[in-house]
Amino acid sequence: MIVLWLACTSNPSVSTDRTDSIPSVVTIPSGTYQIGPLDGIIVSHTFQRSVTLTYSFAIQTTEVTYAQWLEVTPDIPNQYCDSNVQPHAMSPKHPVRCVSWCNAVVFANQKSRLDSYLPAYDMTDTFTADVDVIYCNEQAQFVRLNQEANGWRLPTEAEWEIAAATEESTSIGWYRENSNGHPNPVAQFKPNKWGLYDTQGNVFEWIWERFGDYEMRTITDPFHFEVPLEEVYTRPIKGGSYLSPKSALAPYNRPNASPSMKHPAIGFRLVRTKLSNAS
Amino acid sequence: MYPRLSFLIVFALACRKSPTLPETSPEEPSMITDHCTFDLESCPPPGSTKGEYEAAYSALDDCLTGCMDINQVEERNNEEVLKECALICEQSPYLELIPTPTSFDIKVRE
Repeated sequence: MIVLWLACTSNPSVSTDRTDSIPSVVTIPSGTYQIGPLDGIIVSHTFQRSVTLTYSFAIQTTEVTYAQWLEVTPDIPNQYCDSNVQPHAMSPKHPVRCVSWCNAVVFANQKSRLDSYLPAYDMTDTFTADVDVIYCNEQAQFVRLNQEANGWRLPTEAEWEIAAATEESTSIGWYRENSNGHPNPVAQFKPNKWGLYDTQGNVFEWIWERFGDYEMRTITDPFHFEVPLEEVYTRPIKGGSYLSPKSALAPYNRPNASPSMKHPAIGFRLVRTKLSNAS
Repeated sequence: MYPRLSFLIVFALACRKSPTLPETSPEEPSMITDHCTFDLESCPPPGSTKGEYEAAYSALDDCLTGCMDINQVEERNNEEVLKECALICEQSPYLELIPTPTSFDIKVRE
């Protein structure tokens, strides 16, 4: 079935296998970083902040692709979600999509086990890849992040913004005006200063912690949202997508969606904490 | 199909930021403009072709409808899902080509 799918979706335009020659992860060092919009730029739900990370972390250089997904699990995300997307937009080099936040955290733990890392998420046995919409939204708040684990996980919003930092006019990816209305293979444009591809455009990327308005301008190791909000359970989706206008790709923008949301414009990339004892 | 389509578009239009009204009297004459070849509700701004309008309308509808088909379940509030879908579908570029019947956009752009 998978062979048939790959055969039917092969695309000559992605046969140049550039992604095989780039590192799969880069390390972002600990330190203090300025994130958010520059002074004077008013943006909903955010402002300029100083974030200190006391740890280094590894982050995938591309959004998780179908090929990377299939290395971990044979269960291809709901293809019906992609019914309006041309078949060639589903090659192994395309970002995996139609994955909910719940699917992404389950995948992260699966990949951790495969790579012999300690899974980063503690969740019930019933929290599986095929959780339904209601269960996903209800149970997402009970997924716990083990900060001492070295396994794969979704980035925090601060980690993502630090890693997505880019100079203007470079590292722009696929957006509404150049995407022809569908996602494209990863790593077709120049990487940003860290070596990350497609942090702007192609697909939105899921963030670990829940969404809410910031209050603090200086914060250290923000693994969880700073103010508990019982009624809010959406998660930020970052970086814009092939549907977004170029003007909406800034890393500090904070659209958000329910954990159960599946859409062909939403994917993810993973990070893992680099523990001091050299994991 | 069509009632659902109308609901989606009306909702999307309702989410749109209100246009800044020009300093003109409410008694301005009709917004119907010479370039329109179809009724007011479907009238694109001057400079847009019917094809562009229909393509924009279709793209927005495809995205919203597809998103709703996947994410809508009985137990969830439809408006909540539709808001998220509209956010992901980036309605704003399309709405530039889909003026609201009550806005003065068409008149202003002429």
